[in-house]
Amino acid sequence: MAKFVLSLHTAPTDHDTTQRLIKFSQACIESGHTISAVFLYQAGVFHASQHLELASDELPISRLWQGLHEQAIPLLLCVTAAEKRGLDINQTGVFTVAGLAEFAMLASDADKWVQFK
Amino acid sequence: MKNVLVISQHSPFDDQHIRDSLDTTLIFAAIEQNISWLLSGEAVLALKKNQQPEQLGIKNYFKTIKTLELYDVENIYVCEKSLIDFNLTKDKLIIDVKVASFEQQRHLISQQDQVVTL
Repeated sequence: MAKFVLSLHTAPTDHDTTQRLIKFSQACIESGHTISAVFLYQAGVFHASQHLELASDELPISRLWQGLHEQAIPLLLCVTAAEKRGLDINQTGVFTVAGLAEFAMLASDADKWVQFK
Repeated sequence: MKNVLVISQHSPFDDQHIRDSLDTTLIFAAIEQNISWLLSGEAVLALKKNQQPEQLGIKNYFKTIKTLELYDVENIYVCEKSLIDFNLTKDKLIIDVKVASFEQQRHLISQQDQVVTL
């Protein structure tokens, strides 16, 4: 069984990339692998915005993240990337504010780092 | 200790791509992993001497690239073909780099535990 870290580099408007990350995560867990972190980096940090207003027939991004959160997958947010893009780091929902160094340590401990972009 | 390779393919002022690559490279060096950085395509322009982004009001982050040597990051690679494309040679770059052919780049990638593009 392998230990993964995943990073997301695109904004919530990129539904395909978001879906790929979510489905990959679920497949990992179902196959008995572990995910030690999902890290929002670059434009990926916008997923932590608490101001997403999506119509009910759109991809339910918040609900998908909630699903990963409920499976106890650590969802991390790069504080520097978030601050550079004007996100409120005091309101990040299911995401935990972290530094790049913290993620780098998790990535160094993982068998594989998979990027989604 | 893991072998980690950061690959950059964006030009120096295309969003924050090169700065993110630099930050990631420095952080992996700080936590004592075997980090390498490969610059290919337009990314090689980030290492070109005598650039003055301040004149455009842009932060001169090239100074930080020079600190890689201070942090003992020795594995900086540039794509041989990309240097030719931009009419650059090793002596026109701000730091000492290893020039890698396609074959050497393939070998470099095959040696890694983690490969990321930023």
